[in-house]
Amino acid sequence: MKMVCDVIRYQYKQYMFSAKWVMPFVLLIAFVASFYSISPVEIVNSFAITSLVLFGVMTWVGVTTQELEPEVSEQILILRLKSERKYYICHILFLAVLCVIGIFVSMGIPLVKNLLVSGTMFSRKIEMLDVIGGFALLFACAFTGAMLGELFHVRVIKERTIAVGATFFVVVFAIVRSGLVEKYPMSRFLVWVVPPVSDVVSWFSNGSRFDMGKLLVGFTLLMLYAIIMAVIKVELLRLKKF
Amino acid sequence: MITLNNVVKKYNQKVVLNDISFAIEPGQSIAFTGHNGCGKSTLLKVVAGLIQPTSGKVEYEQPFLFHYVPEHFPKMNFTAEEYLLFQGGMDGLTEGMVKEQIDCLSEDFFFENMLHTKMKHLSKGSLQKVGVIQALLKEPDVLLLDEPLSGQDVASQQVFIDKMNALRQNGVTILMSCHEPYLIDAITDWTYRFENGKLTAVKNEKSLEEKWFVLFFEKGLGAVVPEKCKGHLQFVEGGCKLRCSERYSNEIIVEMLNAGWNLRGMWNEDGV
Repeated sequence: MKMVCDVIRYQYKQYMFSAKWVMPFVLLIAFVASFYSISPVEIVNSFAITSLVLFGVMTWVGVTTQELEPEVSEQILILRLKSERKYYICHILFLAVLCVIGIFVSMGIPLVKNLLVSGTMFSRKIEMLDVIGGFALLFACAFTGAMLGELFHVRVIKERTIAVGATFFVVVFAIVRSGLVEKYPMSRFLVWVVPPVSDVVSWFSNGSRFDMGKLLVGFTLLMLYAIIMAVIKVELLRLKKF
Repeated sequence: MITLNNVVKKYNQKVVLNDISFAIEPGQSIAFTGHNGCGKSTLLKVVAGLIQPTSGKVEYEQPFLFHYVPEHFPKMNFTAEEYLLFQGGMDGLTEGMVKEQIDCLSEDFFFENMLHTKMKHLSKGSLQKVGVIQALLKEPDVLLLDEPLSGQDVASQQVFIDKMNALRQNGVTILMSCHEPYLIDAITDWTYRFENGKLTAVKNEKSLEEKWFVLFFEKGLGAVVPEKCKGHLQFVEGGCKLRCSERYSNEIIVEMLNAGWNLRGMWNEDGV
C-alpha cells in the first residue's frame, strides 16, 4: 500500500511541476466561476451541467498525462514495481486523485460562494444528500473522461493527430449521444460504444433532488464504461510494451 | 534463471535480434559489446520484459527485481534528492533507510553537492550518477547497465567498479551493454559480441595478456556450487562450463572437485 501511495505522490508531484495542469484547470475554474455568477441556480441541474464540462476537462487532462513520465523513467518504475499492471493501476489511481481535485473546484466554488451569500446561491437550502449526489455524478463523469483521454495512448497510436482527433470525436459523441438517439433512434446501434455521459446527465437535468436509485444506476454505468476503457488501455500497453 | 528461447526482434523489417537463445544464471556477470545500434540495449530490455520480442520467448524461474541504469537518464523537474527519495520509497525502504543510502552513495560518487540541484540542470555525467545511485538504493536480483559509465569522471568510475564487484559477491546478476574493455574486464565473467543480430562469445581483453581456460565439469552425486564459483558457471547439457585464468585454474579445480563435481575437460580458449 505504501508503494502505491508513493507512486501516486510521485506522479502527482511530477504533474504539478509540469505546466500541463494549468490550462484545463484554469478553464474549469473560469467556467464554474462564470456559471455560478448568476444566482439562484437549481442544485441538481447545476451539478449536472458542471459534470458534463468536467467530463470534457478530465478528458483533456487524461490526454496530457499520457506523456507525463519520460519513457526511460517509466521503464525504471515498472521494473521497480515488478509489475506493469501495478504501475498502470497506480497511474489510474493518480488520475482518480486529479478527478477529486476537479470535483473540489467544481463543487467547492459554488458551496463557498453559497456560504458567503448566506445560502442564496441555490434555489433552496443545500443538503448533505445533494453534496453526496453531486460528488458521485461529478466523479463518474470526470473518471470516465480521464479514462477516455488515456484510451488512445501515445504508445498505442503513435500518430498524435489521429489519437487526439479520435478522442475529440468520442467526447463530442458522448456529449450529444442522448440527443442523437432521440432524433435518430437507429443511431443507438452505433453510439452504444461511446460512454453514455449525456444520457446519465440528462436524467438529472430537470429534477429538484437527486433520485438515488437513478444515481446508483448512472454511477455504475459510467464507472463500468470507465473501467472497461482502463482495462483495454492497460492490456494494450502490456501487449505492446515499449 | 532467465532463459531466452529463439528470440527474434525486428524493427520495420530490420532484424535486430536474430534467433537468440541462451540462459542467464543467477550471479553471472555478462557484457554485450558491438557497434552502436546493433541491438545491445534492445536485448537488455527484452531480458527485462520491457520490449516484446517479435517471436521467441523469455522465461523467468521466478519474478526477479530488475534495476536499470539507462544510457541517457532523463532530465526531470525533481531535485536529485527528491527523485531518489521517491525511488527508495517505491523500493519499499523506509524514509530513514533511503536517506541513509542516499547520503552514503552520494558521498561515494562525489555527488553530495548536487543532491539539491534540479535534475534538469545537471550535466550528463551527473545525471548518469543519479541513474546509478537509484539502481543501488536497494540490492536488485538483476542489474541492467546500459553504457553505465558514459560521461562519468575517472574516480567515480572506480567507485562504480568496486560497487559492481561487491554486488557480484552478493550474487547479483549483472547484464551490461558496454564499449569500455577495462570495465568489461573489471566486472564481467562472460562477454558476447553482437554481429548481425547474433551473439558470439568472445575473449575479454584480459585474455590477451594471460592464458584463459574453459573447464568442463560433470555433476557428481550431491554436488553443490562452491561459494567462490557462484555466478561464474555456465550450465550446459550434462554439466557446467567455467572460464578462468591460468593462475586461478588449480584453485578452482580443487574447489569444484571438493564440492562433488568431476572434471571432464579443459581447453584453452582456442579449443585446444
